[in-house]
Amino acid sequence: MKKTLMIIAGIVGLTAASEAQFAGINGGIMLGGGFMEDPDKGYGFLQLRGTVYEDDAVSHTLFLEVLGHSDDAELEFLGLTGVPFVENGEINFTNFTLNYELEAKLSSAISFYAGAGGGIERVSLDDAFDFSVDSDSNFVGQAFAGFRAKLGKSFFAQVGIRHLWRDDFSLLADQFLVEDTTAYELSIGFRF
Amino acid sequence: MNKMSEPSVLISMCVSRIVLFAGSVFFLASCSGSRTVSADLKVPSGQMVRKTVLESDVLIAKGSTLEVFYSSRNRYFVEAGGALVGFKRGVNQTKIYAEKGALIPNIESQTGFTIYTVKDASKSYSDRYKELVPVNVNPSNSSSMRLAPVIGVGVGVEQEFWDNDRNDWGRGDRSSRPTSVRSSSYEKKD
Repeated sequence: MKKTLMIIAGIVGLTAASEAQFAGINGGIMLGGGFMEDPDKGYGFLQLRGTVYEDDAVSHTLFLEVLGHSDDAELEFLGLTGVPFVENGEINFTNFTLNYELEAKLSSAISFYAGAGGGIERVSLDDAFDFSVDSDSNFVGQAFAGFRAKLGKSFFAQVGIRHLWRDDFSLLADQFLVEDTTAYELSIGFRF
Repeated sequence: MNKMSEPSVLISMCVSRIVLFAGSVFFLASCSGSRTVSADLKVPSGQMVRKTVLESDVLIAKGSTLEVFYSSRNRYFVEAGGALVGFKRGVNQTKIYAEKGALIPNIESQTGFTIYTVKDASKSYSDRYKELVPVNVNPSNSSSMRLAPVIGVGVGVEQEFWDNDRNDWGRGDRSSRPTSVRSSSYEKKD
């Protein structure tokens, strides 16, 4: 059911984005990755973008972003004899956020961008079989900035920094402390 | 003349949209699919998994290996070319349904196993709620089944199992839910 809903949401979002220019909105898609300071982990993200206003100096863009990263975990089981057993697991974090971005054009090829957004961070605990053991959902907020370079007519690349505000999360009977973190990233995009 | 109306530009736009659309849908589908919640436990083909298994049904596909630390009240379905090894911390009420050519433990070296040979482990796994006996039923008490112990690489005879009482066991108590979790990146709150 979840997979079906995700696919439907993706189809609706992409169809809307691809048809957006006919309503005065230019669509775009961006794929990238980066590295967080705390925890020391890499992440990847996908953005579906719609530019609502653009002139020679600035542009205003709204985008939906899915950002994910994972972390190793140790799961403890209690055997029938009362002896605990430990095995490897994985905690997956997926952020679904809505964001606003302001782009200031420094030249015909280079621009500066900055923005902010918020949404939900979905936390899922999986065992060695990728079987979901427990999950949690919390608020996540972010602010970001960076420089963007045009690569031809439709493609662009950017280097940026973002700060993430994340809530603590609960898995099984345990509450985990989460620190806000800064992240560094590279990405490439396509406008249509 | 408006550039957008040129046929080559229109074709290019259509193709790029189709490619973007297909790629993005595939991306989203793959993201969600990898974490699909399911009650079935399967060792992915070509992978090796180490695990303590409690009260579960596990399918071990061809080319995959499951190393079990401790096993209690489980049923393993092992395809030819699949390997079920380990059990260093013990075995209790464990049944193995193995195809010929599956690598399974030597029954003489450890107690707690009951081993059967099946024609199609994958089919036995998918039909297990209607065709296989509960894990806590002694096979010698049932007159409707024939047993073929397998030692080492599976050999045996074709057989069928049937149990009319499906309430003897169920999904409600099969889950091996962990009691706690530790993460190297996140501290627990006191």
